[in-house]
Amino acid sequence: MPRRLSLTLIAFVLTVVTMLGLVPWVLTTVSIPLFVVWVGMPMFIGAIALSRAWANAGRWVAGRISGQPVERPYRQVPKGTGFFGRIKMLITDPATWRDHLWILLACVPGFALVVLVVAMAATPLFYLVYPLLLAVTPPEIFSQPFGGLITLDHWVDGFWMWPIGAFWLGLWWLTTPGIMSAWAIMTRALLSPTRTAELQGRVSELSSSRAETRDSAAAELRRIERDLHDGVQVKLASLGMSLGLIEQLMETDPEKARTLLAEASASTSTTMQDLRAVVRGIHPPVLADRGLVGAVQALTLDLPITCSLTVDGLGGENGRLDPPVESCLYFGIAEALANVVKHSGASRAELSLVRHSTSVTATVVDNGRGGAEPGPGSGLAGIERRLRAFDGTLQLDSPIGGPTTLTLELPCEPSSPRITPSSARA
Amino acid sequence: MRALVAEDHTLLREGLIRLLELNEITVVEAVADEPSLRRALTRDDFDIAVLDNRLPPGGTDEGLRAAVDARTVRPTLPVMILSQYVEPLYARELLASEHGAVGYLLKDRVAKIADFIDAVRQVAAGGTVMDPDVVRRLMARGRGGLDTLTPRERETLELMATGRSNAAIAQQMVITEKAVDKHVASLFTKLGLAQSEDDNRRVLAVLAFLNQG
Repeated sequence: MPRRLSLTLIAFVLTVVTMLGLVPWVLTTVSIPLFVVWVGMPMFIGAIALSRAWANAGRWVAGRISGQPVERPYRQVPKGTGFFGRIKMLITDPATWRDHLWILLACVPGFALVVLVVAMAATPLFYLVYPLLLAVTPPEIFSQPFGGLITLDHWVDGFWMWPIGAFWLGLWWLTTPGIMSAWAIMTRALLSPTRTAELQGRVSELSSSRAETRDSAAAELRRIERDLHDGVQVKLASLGMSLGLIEQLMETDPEKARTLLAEASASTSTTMQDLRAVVRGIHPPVLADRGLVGAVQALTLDLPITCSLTVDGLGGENGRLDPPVESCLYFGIAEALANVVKHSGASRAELSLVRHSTSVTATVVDNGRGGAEPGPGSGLAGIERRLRAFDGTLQLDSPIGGPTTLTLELPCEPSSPRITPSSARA
Repeated sequence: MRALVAEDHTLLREGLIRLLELNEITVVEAVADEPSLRRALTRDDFDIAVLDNRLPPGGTDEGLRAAVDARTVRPTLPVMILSQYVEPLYARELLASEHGAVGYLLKDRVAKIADFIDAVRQVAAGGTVMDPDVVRRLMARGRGGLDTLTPRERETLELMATGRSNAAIAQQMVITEKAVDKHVASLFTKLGLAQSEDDNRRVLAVLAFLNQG
């Protein structure tokens, strides 16, 4: 009952206001011929803003009726778009014209639907008071309700109208949800993003994240190449020279050869150190050994500040994620913790890793000074780039004075339902 | 002395065997993968197991896991883990049993043969030898429950963690052995390690160092 009543209320409001939609519609229509005298252009922009606000109201109502929000399909206007660029974007955005089509449809079939609901709700009320109407008004006004088909002479005859009222009440009861969902379906069909628009949005998202991934992969390879070239290769070359020299000196100056040999031996050790640093940067061995949880635990042990670790849903046998996801999250967390150490001035941090049904989140909270900003070139931007390649997101909450909360979220394969919560502390 | 060797790279395995045998350590068995290592660790005719951390078929930290498992059965089983990389986390797991007789070194430390053989003998005798890299990384954190130690005592503890004897520590720090004795006694007291057999207290002190924070 409350649902039908609220639907009827919505229908009533729609009956009253629907025609107002014609205002932006007419403004848009009029502004287009006025393009020739310039004034049409600002008018067009204003009219579109109005029609979009109107359509958004329609989306909200349809969302209320169907219980599922209707998304907005409008294309984002890139920053720095000029006046004409903006007009061009508005004209070429199909959503603009679908909005206007919706306004017309809402005014004709849509309007018929909501009026029908209101009428079906009002009719029983009307028949309910029919005896009263007969009693208080002059006889000729209400005495022939069906155009002379029947004649009601006395106010008591008015009770004959009650079964008809009950019939309409029943019809209202039965059909209102269906009629209002028909209105919502019509609205959703026209006002929600089309499949094409959705795919277009996805494609542009993917091509920008792919470009970022490609760039960062290339930068990463360059870094590795440089590390190997300037570190390991140079050291091996000098080692080769030393060995050659030792070979020469063996006969003539055994003492000198012995010193060089000791140096060469020390040099192999530092070369190994360099190589280990490179390997850690590519794929930390502990990540390969122990997976994300173990590797992150090792990471927190290496920090110069105290960092607690809470893990939920990632322990045990089914706790491993896809290796690329693990690697992405590991480097993201490593970068986040490095940022905490470098910039926040925090004395302690809390890291929690939680696996949800279709995603995994890592949250880093520190007690530092806050005010972190994800500017271009910052560590945060780097993390965001890493995450985007996996459709992940980064959320930062860092008021001046702290505390700072950084949340990394990555979608992952749905996990089997967890039976007991597992947690570990380090 | 007798040793068990596990290493999957043939060159390194042969090198290790030759090196041990040259220094009068008999190699009773040399294995190249995890299943044979787990079987070999049940033998009782060796004084120390020298193991590569990463072994087939898994290619992760099978050596370490096998050692930790073997030590839950025989807590004093002397184990020397060699690895291409070191993690303080692993050092902590190895020492969790608090029985010492554990070594954890980078593979390239083997190149300093005299030091390596010395470390092997120390571990076989129940000592604890941590790689300087582990110690350095723990020091870099510069925090934790060891705040009450003086810088000299801290330095003593670090060197102790790398398996040095008091005499070696004295030589390294350029002080007398008597002064080292004093530092050692003082840091034992500060860490709350009561009078007991010296070797075990050294292990516990190193463990406290690894667990700081």
